[in-house]
Parts: sequence; C-alpha cells; structure tokens
Amino acid sequence: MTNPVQLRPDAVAEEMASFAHKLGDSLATLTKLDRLESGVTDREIVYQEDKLVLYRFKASHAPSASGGIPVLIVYALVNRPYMTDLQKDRSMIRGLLEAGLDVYLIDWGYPDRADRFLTLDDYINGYIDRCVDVIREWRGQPRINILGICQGGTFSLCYTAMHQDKVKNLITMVTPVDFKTPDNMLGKWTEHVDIDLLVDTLGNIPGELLNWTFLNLKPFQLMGQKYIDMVEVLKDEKSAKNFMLMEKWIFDSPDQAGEAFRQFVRDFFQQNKLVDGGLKIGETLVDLNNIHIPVLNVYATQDHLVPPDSSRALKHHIGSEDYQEVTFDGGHIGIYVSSKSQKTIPPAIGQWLSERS
Amino acid sequence: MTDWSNPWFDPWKDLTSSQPWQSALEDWWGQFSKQPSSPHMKAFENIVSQSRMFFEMAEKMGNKQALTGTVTDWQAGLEQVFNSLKESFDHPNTTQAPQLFWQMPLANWERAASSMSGLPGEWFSTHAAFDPKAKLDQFLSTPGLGYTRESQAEQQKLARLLVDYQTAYQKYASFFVEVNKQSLDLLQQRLVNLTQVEQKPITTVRELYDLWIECSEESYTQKVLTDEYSEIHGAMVNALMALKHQSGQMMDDWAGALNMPTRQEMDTIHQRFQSSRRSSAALRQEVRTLQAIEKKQSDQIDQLLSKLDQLEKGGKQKGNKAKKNKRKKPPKGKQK
Repeated sequence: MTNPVQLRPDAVAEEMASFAHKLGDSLATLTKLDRLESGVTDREIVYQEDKLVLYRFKASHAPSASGGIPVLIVYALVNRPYMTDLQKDRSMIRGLLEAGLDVYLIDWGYPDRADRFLTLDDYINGYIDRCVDVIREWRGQPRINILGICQGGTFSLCYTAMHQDKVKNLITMVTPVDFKTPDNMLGKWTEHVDIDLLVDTLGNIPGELLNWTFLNLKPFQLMGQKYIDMVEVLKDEKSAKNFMLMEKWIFDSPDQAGEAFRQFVRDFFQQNKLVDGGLKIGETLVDLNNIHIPVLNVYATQDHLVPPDSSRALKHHIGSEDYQEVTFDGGHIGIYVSSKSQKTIPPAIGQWLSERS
Repeated sequence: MTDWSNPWFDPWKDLTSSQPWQSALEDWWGQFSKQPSSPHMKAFENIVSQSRMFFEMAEKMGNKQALTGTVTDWQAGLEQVFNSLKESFDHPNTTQAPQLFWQMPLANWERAASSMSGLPGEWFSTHAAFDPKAKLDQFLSTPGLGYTRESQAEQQKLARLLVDYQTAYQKYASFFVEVNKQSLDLLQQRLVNLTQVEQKPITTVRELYDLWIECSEESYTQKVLTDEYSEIHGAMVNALMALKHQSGQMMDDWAGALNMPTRQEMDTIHQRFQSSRRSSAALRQEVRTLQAIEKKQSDQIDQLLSKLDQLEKGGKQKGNKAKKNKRKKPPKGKQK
C-alpha cells in the first residue's frame, strides 16, 4: 500500500513558485481593469414607475418569431437583471433578439426604506400588471408572452394564474415551485426563522444578508476555491474582466422590501402554499391549476439555488396540457452566461414560441 | 489609472523565491494594501486571503515527514496530522490560515451580522460564552429602583438578549466545529481510498486542496440539511434580531426624548404613504376603466347618431322622392 499523499518537497516548491508568479500576474492584471460596465444591448425606456423601469431591447431587425408578440422578462427581486445581458458574447437578451423576439425587461431598481411596505400584491397585481398593460397597448396585442426568471418565474406563475387573459405563453426559467424538496437548503434554513421578528426589526432586508445566505449554499467553493481557480486564469485580461463582472453581479444584491419579503418567506418557503394551496396575493386566491396556456419550463440540472426537483414540480400542479421542459446541463448562473447556454436556450425559447404564435 | 504592476508585483515575485511563501505574501500584502485603494481591492483581498491558506497548506503538507515517509508509518502520520487539526478546532485561533479556511461559513455570518447590528463582527467570537448563565440571568432580573427604573429595566432586557445571542452564536460555532471534524474524517477516508482502491496518490498541493474543498462541501451539505442545523440557525438569527429589535426600540426612546423623528413614526408614515399610493393606483385604474367604458359608450352613441342621421337622410330622401312623384303625376281626378 502506498502513501496517499506523495508531495515531494522540490515539486511542491516548484508548484508554489509557479502559483506565486500567477498570483503576481493576476493581481497586476486586475489593477489594469477599467470601470466595469454591464448591460450591453441597446435599449429604450418604455415605462417608469417609482424605481421600476421597463426596457425594450432594440434588435437589428424587425421581430420575426412568435408572430411579433412581445416577450416580457420578469426578473427576480434578489439580484440585478443585468445578468441576462452581461457582455456581448454572454447575453441571453442578445440571444433572444437573434431568435427574432421582441424583448422587454422589468428592472426593479433598489428599494429603500420608503418602499418597505410594498407587498407581493403591489409587485404582482400592481407593477407587473401595469407593465403588461403598457406593452399590450403599445404593441396593440391583447396578450403577450412572459418569461419569468428564478423568483421572477414564481411571480409570473402567480400572475398568469390570476390574469391568464393577458398572457399568451409562459416560460419559467430556473424557477422554484415546490419549496420543500429535501435538497432545498433555503427552505430548510428558513423553517425556524421568526420572519415577523426579522422584518419588524430590519424593515427592509439588507442585500448583505442575502449574500451571506447565497454564499453559504456552497461556502468552501464560493468563498475559497473560486479565488484559487481565478489565480490560474487571471493573467489574461479578458478572463479577468469576465471574473470581475461576475464578482460585481454576485455582490450587487438590492435590499428587499420588507413586507414582500415577509410574505415570500412565510407563504412560499415556510408554508409552501404555491403547491399546497391557500396562497393569496392581495384578495385573490392563486391556483396553479388555473393555468391552461402553453408553458415551457427551463431548469438547470446542477442548480444549487433552485434544485431541479423544485422546478420540475410545476408539471404536477398546472392545468395546462401543453407543457414542455428544457433541461440545461449546468448551474443556476451558467444558464444565463455560459457559451453552451447561449447556443441552446434562447433558440429553443424562440422556436417554442414561434410554434405557438 | 496608476500602473502599479512594476513597483509592486515584481518585488512580490522576487520575495517568493527567497522566503516561505505564506510569510512572503503577508510581508508583501502588508505594504501593498497601504497603497491608494484600487476599485478592485476587495477582490484582491479575497484572492490574497485564499492564496495565503493555499501556501500555508503547501508548507504544512509539503514539510510533513509523516506524509512523505515510509509506507508503514504514513497512516500513523496522517492520523497525527488530522488529530492535531481537530484539536485546533476546539481552540480556534482566527489568525491562522487553516483556521481561516474552516471558519469561512462562520466568518461569513460575522460579516453579515456586523452589517445588521452595528457591532464588530468578531465581537462575539472573541468572548467566551457567559458562564454560569443562570447567575447572570439572576443578576439581570434584579428589579430597577428609583426614578430611572424603566430605563434600567430596558437595559437589563438588552443585556439578557445579548447573553441569549452569545449563547446561540456559541451553539452555531460549535456546530461548525463538528462539521469540520466530520469533513476531516471524510478527507482521511478519501485519502486512504485513493491508495487502496484507486491506486492514485496525490502528487500536487492543488489536488490535495481540491479534495479538501470537496470533502468540506460534502460534509457541510449533509449537516446543514438536518433539522438540528435548521433549529440552531433559526435560533441564532432570531436571537440577533431580538437583540437588534430591543436596541432599536431604545434608540427610538432616546430619539423621541430629543424631539427627533423615530423609526416607528417613519414606519407609520411609510405605511400610510404606501396605502395612499395603492388607493391612488386603484383609482387611476378605475378612471381608466371608466374612460374606456365612456369611450365605448361614446363610440356607440356616435354610431347610433350616425345611423340616425342616415335614417333621417334616408327618410328625407324618401319624402322628397314622394313629393317629386306627387308633382310629376297629376291627380287622377284631373286627368279624367
């Protein structure tokens, strides 16, 4: 039987010397980087209300897919939506435009203490509904397509269940539906948290607390190994820029409006009402079984934030007979930015919508 | 933009050829970090901090005779290395690199807690749990006296909540000691497995580091999905919130005494403001609906008027025609 660790001192010295050189090079590269800009695709403001901005992305050619019916992207509240348009070669938005779609996106902005009493009703039956109406009126369409991402997907499901007459097709992407699957860490961690005390104490929930939670899903990889990996590749300025843009996005977490956060944690994470029943948004009871329009559910097999089972649960709870899944072999972030996803996900969405225009 | 590369990064590369890597990095970083801040300084810090641990691991593992010794004594040597690491978990020293590695989840909480409570993050970790807690509870339950008794009671309540948080934090920290020990056991098993089953020994520090991360992550995931962790985690968050809630209320009392706006008042204003906005949004919607109805009705009226107009015109035309016909055709009686 041989020794499992055969580290020869001379080999270790060589490895460390090489690492030290790479470390020096990578830090030198980082100092050369300019201010980081994200959100690369040309866009125009269509509607503004409070801190919300509704954008329309400009395509180089007229929308040809989905019969010209617009697609509204509803992003999560917990991170910034520029992840969908990070860089020219890493932009889901660009992919959707190239697939011939007319793309709109809601940017929720950064809530402050004056927004503390915004509820889920305000977000879903208020902001989202008004954005949908603006687009319908502007484009002269009775119904539009909605693409909900992550928590935005959950909101889109609730919205569609209540306003199906305004939605033609629904796409959910890495969307939590069943919040109590055995591998759902966030669901487990919120079980014993006194959510009323948390919100009553903090008012809005600080982005810092959300960062702590997300990093703790894989602490050793996300706070340790990632930086050692980076030393290996940061000599190259393009890789350094990619890394820093991602780093910027990860820590760019807006505070959460207290009341909406209270409802989301209590009704979704703690009581799993979206699938177990009894969920009320405002005065309306939300029943996924009311959804009869076509639904495309896109999820990632290695998603550590929204476990695949949590997303896949959708098929058991909606009333639609036209339900399809698209699987992406990667993680929660890779689905927006990896070169593999750029080639597969937007074209798949474009085709699916065109078949249902 | 300042080009720092030559004056700062070349000396670093020179330093590493002559000194132990970790202390070389510390010396260099000590100088570098005093320079004017770069927009990417936080990323630097993270990379340097992780590199420090990486170097420390290389120095520790690379020099362990036990790990590079004869076939017969490596298992004992491995056991020794792991036991000494496990012992260090019970007596944490937050400045040592391996400790920093294992305490990543805990340090992460300290940063978050600090941002929410206004207290330095390491404040609680550097204080031992209050012991005996019962005595302290008894002391803190002593009724207040005299004119300021209410404020004394509030301060006692705050102190009790501080003790509760300290206790909850210690439980959380102890849980992570167990997680770390379990991941070390797993690492040890994996190392043995590498030789016994896979016949593939580790030959680079990076391989060892990656295996270490893999085992830590696996043990961590297993443990944090348990009911035990869920309760410990909930208790710690709740205890911090209770503490912060009490301190917030006391701040409000002081602000009120100074005739300044309080958080509670601001919340009331924001709540009413949001409620008014909701009402006005509903009213705007209602106006839009009524306008749409009015427009529809107005269109209908226009259509009806237009039809009426047509009918009238049609009627007049018929009437005129009839008159013309009357004029053209003389009465039958006259013809006769």
